[in-house]
Amino acid sequence: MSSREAFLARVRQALQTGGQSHHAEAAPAENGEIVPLVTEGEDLAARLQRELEGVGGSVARVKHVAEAAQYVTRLAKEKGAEVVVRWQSDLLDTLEIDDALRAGGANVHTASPASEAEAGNRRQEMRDLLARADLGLSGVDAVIAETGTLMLTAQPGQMRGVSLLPPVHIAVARTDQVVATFADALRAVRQSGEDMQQNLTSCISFVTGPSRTGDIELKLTVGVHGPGELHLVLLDEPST
Amino acid sequence: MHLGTEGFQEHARQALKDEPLQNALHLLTNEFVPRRVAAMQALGDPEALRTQARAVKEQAVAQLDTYLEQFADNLDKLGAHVHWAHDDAEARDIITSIAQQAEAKVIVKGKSMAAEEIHLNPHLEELGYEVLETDLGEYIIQLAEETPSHIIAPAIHKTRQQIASLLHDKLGDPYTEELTDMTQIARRALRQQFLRADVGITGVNFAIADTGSIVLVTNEGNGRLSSTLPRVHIALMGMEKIIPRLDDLPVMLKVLTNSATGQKISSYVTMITGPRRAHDLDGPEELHVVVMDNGRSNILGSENREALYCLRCGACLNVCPIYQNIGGHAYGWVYPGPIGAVLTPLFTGLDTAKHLPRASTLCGACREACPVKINIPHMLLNLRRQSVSRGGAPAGEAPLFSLWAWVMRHPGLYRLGLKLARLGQMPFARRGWLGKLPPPFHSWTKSRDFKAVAPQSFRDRWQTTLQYEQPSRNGAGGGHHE
Repeated sequence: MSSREAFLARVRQALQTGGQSHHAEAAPAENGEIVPLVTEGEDLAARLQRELEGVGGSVARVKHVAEAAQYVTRLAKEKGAEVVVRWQSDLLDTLEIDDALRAGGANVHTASPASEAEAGNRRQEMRDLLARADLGLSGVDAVIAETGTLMLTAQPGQMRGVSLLPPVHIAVARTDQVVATFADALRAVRQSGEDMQQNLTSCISFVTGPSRTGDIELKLTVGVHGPGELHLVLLDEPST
Repeated sequence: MHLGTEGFQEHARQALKDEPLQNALHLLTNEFVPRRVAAMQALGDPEALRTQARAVKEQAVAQLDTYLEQFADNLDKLGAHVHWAHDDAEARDIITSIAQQAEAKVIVKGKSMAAEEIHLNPHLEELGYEVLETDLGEYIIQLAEETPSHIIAPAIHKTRQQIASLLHDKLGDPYTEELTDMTQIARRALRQQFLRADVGITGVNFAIADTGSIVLVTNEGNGRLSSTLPRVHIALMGMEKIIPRLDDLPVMLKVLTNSATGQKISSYVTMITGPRRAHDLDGPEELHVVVMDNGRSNILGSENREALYCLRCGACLNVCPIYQNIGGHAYGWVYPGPIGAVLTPLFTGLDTAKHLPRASTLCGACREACPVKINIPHMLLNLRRQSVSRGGAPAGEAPLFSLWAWVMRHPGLYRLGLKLARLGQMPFARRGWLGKLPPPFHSWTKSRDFKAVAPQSFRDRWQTTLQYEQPSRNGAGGGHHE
């Protein structure tokens, strides 16, 4: 195996031999975004809806927590969901949705954080559940209007698999979580603390619509690996 | 296995006769090109984006040593393992030893051109591992025991019927030509493997120096599954995948997905910053990043450095009149199309791949389509020059071109030559074109037509009529053509 030093020495050597005056200094654009796709003053929630629907996602605008819970419950019933796995997050908790889902016949499991000692067993348990889950229910960390993209970080309570393994993914977001651009979403991450690596969490998934492929004759088909359906419930009620 | 680059001319000839392939290529041209053009237009100022993206790559590559160190230091802090592979053999050995330590049996793979480059699958299979491609296109190719023919759409050369038979024969599911059903068959088969897999191997689209993050851009979600479910995640990257800052990502992402598939963003963009953390309930326990040179430092030190700016988006393939006609396999190695005609000789040596830089009309469509404005025609010329100086040109070519150059320097002779040519071409010319010429010119017309000498030269027309014509009145300087 090459050592790091030997590897980098070859790179340095090549840079010197190359010797061309290629040293363009790319100043990163002011905010990392030179041409935002959204226009100033645009209704971001409306734009978000248009974009996400454009790539095959569905968006439901609701006014109250109760309405959001009803929507999710109805959808779960429509899909005949028997096993639901959800994030633990403040927003989802305020929906008080578990009982309603259970009343509809579904088993609801929450990816609640475990102590380090228990994490091992808990992981196996959640993995088995997710493998047979019919529906994944998550919150979001932000939603990006210009492309209709959900930003999902990996944190205690926020499993990656919830938005990935089940055939249907429902995400619930508040309108004040909508940002204009991808760069804005990254900026929000940056502002959440000094330690950038900490803020980025082990994994940020940016999700835009259902899983899709064009690998057979370039024809669009959904649901090849990730969820075939993505529903965003956008709650128009300010956080309390 | 790959066809090999030496038989390029023969492979190209066969490809032209391959009807399913020709239909597929037609589809590709009609679908991808307009999609990309429309998508780039929708970006508002695509030119500004390309300029910025190019500048980012220029800077990343010009200070590659610094950014690689920063990237590696950041990965160390996260508890990820960084490995350095000088060549393909080292990269394979590193990956093998990680798989051994993980006591792996089943390995799932996301789509990775770098893994293709080092022929990773056959190597791991020989050692007894069960290796599964999980990108649908790559999976189809693996079932068919073939190689990808397009960077973005690996199975573009196969028809729906061929794929339907393949799924039926290999997986035993009932035969169906319904796309949704076919996709679900693949989903079920692969999901089982994902849950069994001990190791997931993916490529890397961007490696961010200032955070130590790696970014995967996919549509199907196989990259997410490969980097989430198995206990060990190995990410294999060419060393040029570095971008300096997290702040560079929005622009790079935009030009990549728009150029590749005409999407504003792909369904999934996954940014991985280290292995799972103490309280995470999923994600891999170990993250290994394998940084690979494999000939890249040679390119870095050469006049073709900008070949390292390539994002592997495939846009140049789709617009190339040569690729549009012969497809990817004829190029004989991992990277097809215009960028392949540059990369292949640079990676595998010019002597065996000398035909590739010649398989271009130098029309410049590739450069125009490239999201980082790589001057591919210029590099093709560099490579042609090198090839000729090493005696790579056909025997008759040099004397003929010397003669041509000499005649061009003597206007009287040139005019005489034109007159003679006008007489000489009479038996061969059809509607202004020469389809077949006798020796010593026959090799030129073997694979292309030659424009016949016009009945009257531009010089003559200028002398007799053109110079007396009045410029058109509508529009300044706009000539009126009859």
